[in-house]
Amino acid sequence: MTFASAGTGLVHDHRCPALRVRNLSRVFGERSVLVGVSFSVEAGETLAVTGPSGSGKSVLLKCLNRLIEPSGGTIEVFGTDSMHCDPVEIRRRVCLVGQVPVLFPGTVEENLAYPFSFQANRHCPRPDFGGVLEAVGLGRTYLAKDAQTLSGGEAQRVCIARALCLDPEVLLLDEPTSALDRASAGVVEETIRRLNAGGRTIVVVTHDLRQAETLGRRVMRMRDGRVEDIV
Amino acid sequence: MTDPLYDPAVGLVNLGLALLLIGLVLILSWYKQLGLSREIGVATLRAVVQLLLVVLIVVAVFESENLLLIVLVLAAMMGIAAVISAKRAMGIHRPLRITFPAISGSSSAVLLVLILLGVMPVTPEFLIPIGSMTVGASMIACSLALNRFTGEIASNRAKIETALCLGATPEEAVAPFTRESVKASLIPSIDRLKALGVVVLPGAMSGMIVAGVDPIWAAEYQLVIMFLLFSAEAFTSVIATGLARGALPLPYAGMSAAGSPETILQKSA
Repeated sequence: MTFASAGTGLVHDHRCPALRVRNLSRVFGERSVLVGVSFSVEAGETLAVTGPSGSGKSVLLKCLNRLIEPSGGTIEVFGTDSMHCDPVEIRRRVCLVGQVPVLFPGTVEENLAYPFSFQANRHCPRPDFGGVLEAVGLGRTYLAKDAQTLSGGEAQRVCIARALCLDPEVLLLDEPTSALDRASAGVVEETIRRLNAGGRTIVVVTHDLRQAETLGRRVMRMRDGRVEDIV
Repeated sequence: MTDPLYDPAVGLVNLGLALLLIGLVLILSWYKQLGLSREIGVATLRAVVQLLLVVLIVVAVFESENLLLIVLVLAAMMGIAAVISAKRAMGIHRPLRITFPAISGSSSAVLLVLILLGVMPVTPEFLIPIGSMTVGASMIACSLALNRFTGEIASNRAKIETALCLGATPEEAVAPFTRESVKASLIPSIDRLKALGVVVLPGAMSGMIVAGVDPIWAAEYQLVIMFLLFSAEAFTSVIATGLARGALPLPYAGMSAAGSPETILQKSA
């Protein structure tokens, strides 16, 4: 797998895990949302994170891509301490797709091209958008479709495809099926399995234990901001 | 300074009669349950007291012709405008650090440009009223811009986070909403310019014509004031939204070091 970034100064050490989190904590005011969270994710692995609402799953994902700054602990991405890197670069390398699909006005192709309007991505090679859509189970015919007319499942897959256009080293999925009906959820689950089979490193958060067990090679259960177990 | 044609008793009666209009608005507010009665009442009372008090101060400043005193009066106006505008920046941590530099910086800058160009005389008769108009216009633009900005950020959080996750810098992620806020805050100003002379006959020009000044000169001066006000509003709006972006939660503000100061918005997230 190649990384689409122009020189960033980041070291990509393939001998190291894709993610290594040690003693991560996050405090909001008086409230500890993450407490001493430690785990690692090997390259090409899918780790499913599950737990009840308020257990800190989504905050954990946002810490992993530095959308939220941790209060303590370390996060290494292929051996590089992410706290010593440009957060914009970390967010591109460890790309998060939220639980509600967010598409911008325009066609699907324009949405896939959207990341390349940003300064950090302007010099990156653009992938074959049609090919990326096929990787998430949508045909090339979708390129010309109005993004606002897609179903929930289609929209979520376009969001995943948009993230894949940046060829991130780790894909973070926050409850990717929670806003979808059962049929659409099944298609998105199949997309995640297909991506993982293609060697993509994925951390997927879900409150659905069944989904966690079917998607993840390992399942990390969280409660009250702590890791309960990893099986 | 007393006008021999002015009768204080008639003046007070006229003021009381005009207040009946406010009474009608209060009744409307109560009837429609707008929840504005208290705010309208306080605002009206403040307007009456403030305007009568300021007349006394302005008379003293006019008579002294002391430049330092003029600057102090204008600085006080800017400070009060900043406090009033700060109340519209809901959710922004320490909003005075945004409203005060935005209002005072842009008002002072445009006034200074006109003074340096020799367009505006450095006398209290010109500086105080035109300065106050400039500060007032800046305050409204600042309030509108911040009000819209905080609303845009709150309702577009998912879009901003999506842009950040796709490699946008905080500036790039927030830029569409900054632009919308600036544009929205300038709508009244642009409409006022469009309607000038067709719908609106501005008070300063009307007053000058009534006072016997050449109408062409009055119109020229009014245009100078309108351009002054518009530029002050535009600068205020751009500065205020730029500073407000810096006061947003960490990823939006671009502060990345762990332990950076956090804002109210982030704590409530």
